[in-house]
Amino acid sequence: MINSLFIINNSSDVFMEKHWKSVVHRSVCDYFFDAQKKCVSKSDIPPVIATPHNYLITVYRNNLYFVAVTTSEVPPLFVIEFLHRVIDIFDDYFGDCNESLIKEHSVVVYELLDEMLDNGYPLATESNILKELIRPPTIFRTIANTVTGKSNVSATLPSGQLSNVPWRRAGVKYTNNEAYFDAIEEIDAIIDKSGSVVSAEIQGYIDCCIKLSGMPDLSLSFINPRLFDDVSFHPCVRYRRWESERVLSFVPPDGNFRLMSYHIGAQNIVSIPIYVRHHISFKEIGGGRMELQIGPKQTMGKTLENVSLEITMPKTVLNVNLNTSQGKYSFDPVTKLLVWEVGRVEPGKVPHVKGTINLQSGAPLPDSNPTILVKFTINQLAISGLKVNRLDMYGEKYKPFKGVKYLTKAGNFQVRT
Amino acid sequence: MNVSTASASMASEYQMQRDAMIGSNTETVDYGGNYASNDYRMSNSSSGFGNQMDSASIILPSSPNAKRDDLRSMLESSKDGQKLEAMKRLISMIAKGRPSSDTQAREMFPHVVKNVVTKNAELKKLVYLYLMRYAEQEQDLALLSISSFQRSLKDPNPLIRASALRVLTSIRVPIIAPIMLIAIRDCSNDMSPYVRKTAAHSIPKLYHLDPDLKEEIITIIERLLQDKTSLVLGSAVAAFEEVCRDRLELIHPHYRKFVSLMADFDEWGQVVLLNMLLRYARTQFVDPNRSNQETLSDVSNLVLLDPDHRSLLRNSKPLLQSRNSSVVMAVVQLYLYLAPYSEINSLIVKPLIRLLHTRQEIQIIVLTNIASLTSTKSENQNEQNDQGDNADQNEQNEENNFEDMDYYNPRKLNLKSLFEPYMKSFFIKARDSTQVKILKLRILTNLSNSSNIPLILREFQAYIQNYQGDMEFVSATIQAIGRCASRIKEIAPVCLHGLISLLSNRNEAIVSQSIIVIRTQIINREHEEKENELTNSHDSSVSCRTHSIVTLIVKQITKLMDKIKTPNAKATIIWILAEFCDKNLQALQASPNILRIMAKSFCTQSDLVKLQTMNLATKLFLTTHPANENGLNKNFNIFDEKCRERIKLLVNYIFNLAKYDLNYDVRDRGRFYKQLLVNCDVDNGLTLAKRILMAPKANLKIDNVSESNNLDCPSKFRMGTLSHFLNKRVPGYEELPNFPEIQPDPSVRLGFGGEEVSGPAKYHRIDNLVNL
Repeated sequence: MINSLFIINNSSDVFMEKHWKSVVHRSVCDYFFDAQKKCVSKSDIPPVIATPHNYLITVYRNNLYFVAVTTSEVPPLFVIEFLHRVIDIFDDYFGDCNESLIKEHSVVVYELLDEMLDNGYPLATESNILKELIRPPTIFRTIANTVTGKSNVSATLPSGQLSNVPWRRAGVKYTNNEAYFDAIEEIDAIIDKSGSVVSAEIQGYIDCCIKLSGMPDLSLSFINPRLFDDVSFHPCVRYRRWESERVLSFVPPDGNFRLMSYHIGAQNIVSIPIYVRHHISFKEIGGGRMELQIGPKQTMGKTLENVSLEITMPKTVLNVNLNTSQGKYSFDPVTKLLVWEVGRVEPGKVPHVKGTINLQSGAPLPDSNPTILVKFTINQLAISGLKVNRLDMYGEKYKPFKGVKYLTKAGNFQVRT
Repeated sequence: MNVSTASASMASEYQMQRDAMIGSNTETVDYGGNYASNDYRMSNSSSGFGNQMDSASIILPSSPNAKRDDLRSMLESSKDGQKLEAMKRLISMIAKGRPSSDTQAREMFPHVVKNVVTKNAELKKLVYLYLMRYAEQEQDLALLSISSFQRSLKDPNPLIRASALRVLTSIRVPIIAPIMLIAIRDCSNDMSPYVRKTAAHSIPKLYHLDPDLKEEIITIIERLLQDKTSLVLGSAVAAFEEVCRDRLELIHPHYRKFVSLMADFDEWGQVVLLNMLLRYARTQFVDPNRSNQETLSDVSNLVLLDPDHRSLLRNSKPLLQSRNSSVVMAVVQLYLYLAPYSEINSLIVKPLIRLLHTRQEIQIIVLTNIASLTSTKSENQNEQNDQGDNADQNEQNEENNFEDMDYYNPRKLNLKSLFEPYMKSFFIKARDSTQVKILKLRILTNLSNSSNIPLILREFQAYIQNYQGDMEFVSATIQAIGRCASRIKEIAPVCLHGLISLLSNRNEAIVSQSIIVIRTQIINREHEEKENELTNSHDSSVSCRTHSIVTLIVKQITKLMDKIKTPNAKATIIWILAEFCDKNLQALQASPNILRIMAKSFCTQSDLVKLQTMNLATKLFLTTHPANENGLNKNFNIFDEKCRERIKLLVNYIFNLAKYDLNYDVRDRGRFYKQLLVNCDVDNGLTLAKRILMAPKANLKIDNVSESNNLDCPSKFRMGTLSHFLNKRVPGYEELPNFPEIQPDPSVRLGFGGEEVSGPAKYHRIDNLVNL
């Protein structure tokens, strides 16, 4: 299905390649570069490019292009999902996924790619299995290996590979047994000029960090599971239990993973925890004026934190002079990006900013007003009202420590002016 | 034993000779090398290749030669650590893939191949990686390693057996195909499921190496399909798909096992399995939508289906909740092409909407699919029906037509209405890339109807207001407004008003784009009007409305004349005036003045504008010609003798200017028009000129399609495929088979279907424990 993979950096350098079938010459990437030249921005590259003999399927992440080559019909999502999985695994192994790390660990990367795909068909993509086959590089292990002559490659078959729970390795042992759940909700919203909500949706995730010994069988229930419009699960979750009882029942993988993601939108009303009042105008004489004011709204007693506003100004704006009642602002004259870092909004306070905009003289007035992108986080609150009811563990004797954390943040939260 | 050492020494001898040759070659290229190496090259080449001097004995630091010798001595060393280090260097050279490092790495083949016997796991793995990369190019030497693989295949450790099989089958050397076949056959009977899985993976490799072995290979696949672990089955199905996808009878006995084990497959296996089952079901079950009324069971409101058909739908449903987008897409496809329409509901829409919140690449693919799901083209359906009726006439086309009809099948049910509640999910966000924005526009256009159009239009207006940094998108938005108008007749006036209000925008590009869209709109409307007149002549209200719209447009555009600079837009304005000056009073009134303005600046205008100015001049002349009087509407007789005389002079002036224009197109056109006009006073010259110049316009629909680049046409390819995304046939694309007319024998699936399977049973047991 996948013949070859090329990894390309931002300066059009093909610095890594791997072939699972016959070698496809790297000149095939020229078609990719041609397509890249036609794009305005780096991320705008079409995900599928047809060349005379091959098809290139591209994923852009972390400033790197992962270009898979295929010669025949294949579901494009299959390849894209796989490429993202590859990047996830690199992230997991090296802590990040960038050019220098991939170059530094090129042997491990090559081994991993070989283990993940056989003859173009995915073989092992579970991080737990891979980690047993090829141990992630750590400084300690590198030293230990040179002294003892041991290797990073396992000589035995991973235990998980054969079991019914391939995502979990056998013989896990912890002195402190802990299970942490983070319920993170991102609000995607469009607020129009007059302040009314055009659309608002919540994209939520439950991320887990589970360090439990043995083979624990967990079940997690919510107080209000009817809230979810749509959900997707890690393969460990038993679908039937969810269908019948709305309980998440699963044998967890070891370590960090995303248990579930959910979507609340369209049908349910989403509350918007922040309001933005704005006035931006451009005039021939004296440039323009702008005034922004923000404040909390429907926050259920929690405070807004890490608030920041980003505005990409029109090209003719030279500079801005602002007075802020709170926080700092910065303006980049090249990218025309104005950022106002507000920070924490104390209850009762209404941070505002006011000032003038300098326009390039002689140039025509900007035609359109910019869009304001708002960022914020609210701790200890899931804006949808989601609440975890209880977590039960079966199959093991010990008493684990269980913790749940809620966090709401702005996803793609924009205000049109 | 003996043989292998002998061959190894042979290999090293061979390599030495080759080294001498390559050494001289590389150095001719390497100008950066030091003088010593240069001298050496000369002496070496002068004494010929038969030179006794061993190239390895000369040590040249920092030259590629030295590096190679270094590597070689490390590979030949007795310590595993050294070998490992050398292999790591080689592998990172391969990974980099640069031509220079590639050839260097390849030269080491004879030295690497000897290490295949090592006991060190990591070293072995690296040697295997190396062999897989270069065995194809170094076929003869690669054969030396075969015996070692054969030994490893008997190893008690399943990991070693599996990896030996993997490498053995990855060596693309045709001679060893029989050895591979034996190895795969043995491994397909292995105790360890992991080895059996590897055997399944190896099957396609062998098949591509030697397709003549197909029959033998199919028997192995048959055995693997009998397996009971989902781990093996996923790969077995993949092998089946690659080698013998048409042999669906092999699936019969295992169908029920596949359906019940579906959830236990890994994500990638699920995708392959779902695709295979879809094809299977299309050949084994009858169309669930063929005779709905009769088969509706009254108990559960579910359409009565073959139990196996029903269980496939039921068991695949939970997979819509998979985290893997390609699994979700495969289930959506399965439902679209297999489920009764009554059961296709928001069930399949919600997961697709969820995928819009994932990675951008996934978004683009999903949006493309939604766009073609929501698009309906009425003409297409009419065409189909027509073709369906005529199917007997030409058998060649018949097949295609039926196929086409099948592809549109899902669209007979109203998928659009399913997506409508989620319309807001397609609103454009500031960070969307241009591709995503344009796809979302397409979907919004597709979803527009008379009730939601105010909301959509307001959105479109906001886009035009807010996103002027991206002009490509803004013009697409304006075109989208036009498309909304032509899609739904009732909302066309609303859209046109929206477009007209854009004419007063400050941005010139927006204004020009709007004018161009308006032009196509009014031409289309005129046509509808004529059709209407033909069908029901008494309904004159519609034509009145169009006229008032034209009046409005004319009023707006005449005001714009001075502001607009873009030649294309300017030409369009003049064209609109010319087109309507015999039909619309406002246009007629405005034309002389515009013509006067244009005459003043005629010489400085672009050719396009000049041509249109002449067009306006001619038409105005013909409309105001005195011989016209009885033929024309009385209202249009607004100019007195003096005015007409002035218009005539103006027209003459323009043609005189055109006569001496630089561009010969303009000169030509001027002469042509002038001849036509001169003859107006003779006989029925006027009627002839009018028949030439003022003939009714042809329908613009064809134009429209090419302009919008098949945006409105649903793709004829299967959802979720590469061909669908690219809208062209990709090698390996396969049409879905049609449902059979008569239900095939369902008892074929009885086979082994009854037996219990190990995988999910264990699951249930845990579930029960929890319940207690």
